[in-house]
Amino acid sequence: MQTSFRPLTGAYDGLSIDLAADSSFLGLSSAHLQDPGRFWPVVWVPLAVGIVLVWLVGRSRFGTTLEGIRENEERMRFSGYNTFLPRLGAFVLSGLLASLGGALFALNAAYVSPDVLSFSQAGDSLIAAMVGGLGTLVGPLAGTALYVWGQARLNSGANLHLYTGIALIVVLVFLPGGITGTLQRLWKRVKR
Amino acid sequence: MAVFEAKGLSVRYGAVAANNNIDIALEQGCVHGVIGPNGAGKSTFIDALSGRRRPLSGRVLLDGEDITYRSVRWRRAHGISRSFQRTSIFASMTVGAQLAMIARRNAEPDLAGIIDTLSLGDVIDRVCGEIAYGTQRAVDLAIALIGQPRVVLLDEPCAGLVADEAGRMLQHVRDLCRACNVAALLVEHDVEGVFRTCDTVTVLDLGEVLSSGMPAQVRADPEVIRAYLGSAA
Ligand SMILES: Nc1ncnc2c1ncn2[C@@H]1O[C@H](COP(=O)(O)OP(=O)(O)OP(=O)(O)O)[C@@H](O)[C@H]1O
Ligand SMILES: [Mg+2]
Repeated sequence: MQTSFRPLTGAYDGLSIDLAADSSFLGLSSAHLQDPGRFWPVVWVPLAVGIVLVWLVGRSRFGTTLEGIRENEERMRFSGYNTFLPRLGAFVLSGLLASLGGALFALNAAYVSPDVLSFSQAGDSLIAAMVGGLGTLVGPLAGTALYVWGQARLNSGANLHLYTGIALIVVLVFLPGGITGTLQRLWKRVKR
Repeated sequence: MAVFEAKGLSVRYGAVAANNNIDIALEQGCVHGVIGPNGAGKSTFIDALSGRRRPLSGRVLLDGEDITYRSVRWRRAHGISRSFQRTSIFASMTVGAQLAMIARRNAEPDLAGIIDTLSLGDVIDRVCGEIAYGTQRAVDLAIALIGQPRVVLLDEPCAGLVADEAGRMLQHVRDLCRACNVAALLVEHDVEGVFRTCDTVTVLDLGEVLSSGMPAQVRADPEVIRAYLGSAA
């Protein structure tokens, strides 16, 4: 199985994305795709569209239904709601956004291997979301910004995972709801 | 004629016969109390009536039509609603948001009336997980009452409430059922409260009906006194 699909998947060696010298993607050659200055609109446009989409879904009836299902699936069913289809819809939507992110990552990195899906890599995005605050739109954005900043500033000693771990523990113990959750609570207290 | 009936309902958990051949009939505008010691099978009975658990044998009838194997959603759409022994609310949502969500689904014409009756106006903008326990029980009851159900199955709506709160809750349930012509099944631990508020009473013990009838009749039943009420009655 592994060997028969090797030409297609590259197995553990991964796949590199080679655009032929004269071809391009969205008008960008492969050198351009790896140039942050050229590539950024390709990333930012889907990000902005994704944020607006998720924001609209969150405010819609569908979003309220999803919140109800997250909070108490059984009571939703006993209140007459179909709970399967909304959950399916939510998984499809989040799968769509994740695959969009993955496709953009692959274009920019020009190389993917199974390592990209290992927990030490994939788990980081989960941790970033938790540190920022789950269940909100801004939370994962804030967490990711912090993560990227930390990666740029703190990675010199190869201690990034130590800092990630510390951030996660601090949030779990002291800041339930992540950064945004804590800010929301402080704001409520100030208002009162 | 009875709106909602169970005939010979039996439920088993493996070898445990939690309900054995139970009959019951609910009339519109009447509250039918179900009492019995811990583990008598009261919650199991509501589970079987509400479609949460499939009975081994027996039938559940709505207006004489067999609905034993209808889904939970079908039952809610056809006016059968229930509450849970353990408070079952939407903790992260505000009281108003969750009631509006349920009301939208069940086409409730007078949500404000329900909010008013259960005195939830003051907490409408509060997050439900942060309000007092007794108020959460009222929200739980409100969720069950939304959508003008014809049959409500209430599993210990007063569980954990202090005596006068519990008394008021029972009174509420009875008044609402009379006013809206709802058939209610009320499982309750407070025996005195049940005898005071219910029109008819069934006593369960070890999954079987020990006695059933008017409160006075059931209270005087020597079987009930021996097995359940003891010398206290
Ligand atoms: N999911 C389950 N699996 C196996 N046995 C169960 C299950 N649920 C309940 N039982 C058993 O079935 C019997 C009836 O339980 P049930 O919860 O219906 O009693 P109850 O009358 O509601 O009691 P309580 O007054 O404590 O609420 C008990 O012996 C209980 O241990
Ligand atoms: Mg019970």
